[in-house]
Amino acid sequence: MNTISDRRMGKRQKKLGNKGQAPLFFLENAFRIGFLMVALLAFFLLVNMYISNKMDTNRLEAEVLANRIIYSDTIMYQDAKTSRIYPGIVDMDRFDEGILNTNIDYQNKRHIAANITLINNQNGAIVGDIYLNKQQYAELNILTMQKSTGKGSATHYIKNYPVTYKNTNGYDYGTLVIDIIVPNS
Amino acid sequence: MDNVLKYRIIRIKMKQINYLKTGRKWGKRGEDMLVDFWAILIFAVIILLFFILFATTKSGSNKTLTEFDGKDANFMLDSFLRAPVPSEDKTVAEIIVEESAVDGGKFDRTGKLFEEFFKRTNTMNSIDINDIHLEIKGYNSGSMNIVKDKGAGSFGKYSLISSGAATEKSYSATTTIPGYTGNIQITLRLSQLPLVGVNVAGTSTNPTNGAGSTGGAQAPVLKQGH
Repeated sequence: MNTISDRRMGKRQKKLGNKGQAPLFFLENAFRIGFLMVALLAFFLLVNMYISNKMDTNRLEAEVLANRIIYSDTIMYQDAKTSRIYPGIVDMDRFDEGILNTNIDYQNKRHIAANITLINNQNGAIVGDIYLNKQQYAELNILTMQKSTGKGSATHYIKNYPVTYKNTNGYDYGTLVIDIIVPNS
Repeated sequence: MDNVLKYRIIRIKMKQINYLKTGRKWGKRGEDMLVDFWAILIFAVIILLFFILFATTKSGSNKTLTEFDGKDANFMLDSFLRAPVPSEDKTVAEIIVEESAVDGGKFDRTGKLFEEFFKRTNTMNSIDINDIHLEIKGYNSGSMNIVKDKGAGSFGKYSLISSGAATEKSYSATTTIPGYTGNIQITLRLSQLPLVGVNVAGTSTNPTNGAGSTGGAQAPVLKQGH
């Protein structure tokens, strides 16, 4: 014969039994839930990988500037009669900081900067040394020399080009070193 | 242990046993597995397609930067050929033409000019050139044959990195100039590491991984030994 307390216990057990089905449901569907989580994660990861809204253009900027210097009449020799430019032959009369900054005049002075050095091939002496955006170069160079890292710092891109330049004795062979410094952000 | 808790555990176990023993449930479970299998297969195929698309796009964007390296070789060859020869009213290209006809293809003067011209190409430590290689081909019996080939053997000083480095790349530029007996084909080959951002202590970072994110750079230092 059931007592009142037994009947109460039965009701309580029944309720508990219904609740106990939840873990069973999770056990039964653990694989599906896990798979769903992986699928969702993979979906978002792949979409993020495929849609790239952030690009590192630092090197591209450096390359464009280097090409602008070596292929334009900024420091290269230009025939006065034909206006033909001779890339690879440096005109020392034009190897001047003022001319460089006038010809390549970027509106944003707080960005790219460069140091152009011409070295004599025979003795290694520096024939000329000019800067594009000198103030910015100095500021960024200090950061890099202090081994500063991250977005607040900058990266050097150095390119060497064998060239001919005209000096007082005639033509001589040299190496044009273009050291471009680009802020990381 | 509490009676309630015991009862609860027994009930769950019984349900599990019933679940496994019931044939109807087994059948349903088998169907579910079959449905899951196709879902997994489709998911795997979609992932694979995404990766193929992603890989194709990446190789395309890197091409732009590789083209820049190739242009450097073109500039260097162009610069070399039009360089005036000291104490002579001639260019290097004219010397090559002369030597191909007069000296029977010895190209001694061209070799000296070549060495002198590219002497300090590795002055700074950003671009490490393994080898600068000049190849001159001329018409011989109606076909182009190598007349002179100057490579790393003659210019060992450029071999700053052990050859066969994993990131080594080779770029070449070719041009043809008219000679006395036919065209002369000149090829300049550069084996170099791709241009990299100079990092602290001279170590370099891979541009494809974002040189900017690696941060600091070293002030350029002249290399010794040239």
